[in-house]
Amino acid sequence: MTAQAVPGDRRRLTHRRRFPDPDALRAVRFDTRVRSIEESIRRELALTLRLPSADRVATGRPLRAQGAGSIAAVRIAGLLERGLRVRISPVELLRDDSVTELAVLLAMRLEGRAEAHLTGPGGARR
Amino acid sequence: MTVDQLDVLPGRPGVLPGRRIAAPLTVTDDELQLWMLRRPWTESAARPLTVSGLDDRERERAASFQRPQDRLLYVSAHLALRRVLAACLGVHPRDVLLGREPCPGCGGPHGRPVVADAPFPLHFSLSHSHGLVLIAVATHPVGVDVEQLPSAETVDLCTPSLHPAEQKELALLPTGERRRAFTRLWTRKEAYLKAIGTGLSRDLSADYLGEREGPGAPPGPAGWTVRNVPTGSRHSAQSDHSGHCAAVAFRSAQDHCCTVRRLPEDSLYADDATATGIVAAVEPRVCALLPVSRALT
Repeated sequence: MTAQAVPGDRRRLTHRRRFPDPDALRAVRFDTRVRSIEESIRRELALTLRLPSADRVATGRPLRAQGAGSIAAVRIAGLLERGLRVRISPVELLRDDSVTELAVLLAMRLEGRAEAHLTGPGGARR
Repeated sequence: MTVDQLDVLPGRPGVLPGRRIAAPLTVTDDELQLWMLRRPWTESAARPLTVSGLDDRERERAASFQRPQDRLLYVSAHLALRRVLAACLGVHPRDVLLGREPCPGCGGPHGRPVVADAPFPLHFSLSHSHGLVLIAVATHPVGVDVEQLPSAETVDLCTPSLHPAEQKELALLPTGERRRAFTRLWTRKEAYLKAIGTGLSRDLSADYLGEREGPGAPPGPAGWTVRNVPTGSRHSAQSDHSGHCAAVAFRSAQDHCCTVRRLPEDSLYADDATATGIVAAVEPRVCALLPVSRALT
């Protein structure tokens, strides 16, 4: 992935402003970290889908069920990867995991649990 | 047209054992059929769509949508798909058995959608976005994608995931043209990824789907033809969010004659037999090679 054709400085500033610092997130309790990531996902989805506010994004539903498609997934995955410095693929974002479940996944990966995945009823392997 | 009338229509090799309907819609070898449907944002309370023609998985998915307009478009798209496939197969729409090919990457049951019991090669692809549904039907693997134009910021954020040559092409464009060019490119890419069955699990930078062709251009996917499809949205594409781009990818090294049909909205509300008759009666509006470059969309 290269950044040669995009206004990279603007993009980097944008994602820094949008996401909490990954080191600060690691330092807080797990549930606090999850809530913070959850809010970031809600905000980004609302921006991507041009919703009037993040309140319109339900934490208990998958992104796909809230109108996210491929472009939205690639955008949000890129922002999450750059902002939180953890790996998340667009395919993972478009599975049946709810916003909260995705936040848990990302919170685990922030701890360095790189192989973290969801296996429950709403999990990524369903 | 009733089921009994359908019985006497000229048959094709698609009459299923035990079912009495002859397929009224023929898909010839190397033909590419595109079907379009436009839907309003809201559903008439006096004329609700019924989901009884969908299978359990489709109904579950329809129920999962948070916004009514997303649910309406999903239900419309899948009813439309079933009506078109039913007309090709000679079965009732609710009897079209949809399944998934194995994923070409991991072998899991989430590859390209297929008709599970088609008695002859029948491939299809479905895409829908913001009021527009696009369906492709062919005897060879095919993929379609339709997208609403994303914001300029989204274009900036997604462009780094593309093939390096695609990024360069977009960077050379004036800012005002970049959103549309990106969306045209994106739909070509996603149509191709759907056609090969990988979807987004394949690296978006792995294949060149840019506008350039001929000597000096990076090679595109070998054995595939990928073209943008006119959507009729151009009038609104420059000034607001409602413009669409669309594309189709089909397994052939040559352009095909492509028929484009507008699916009548009435077919969604009609009973199965009547709907099949409506679909079969639609005349193709265009029969032409799809445009190679940026015309017509």
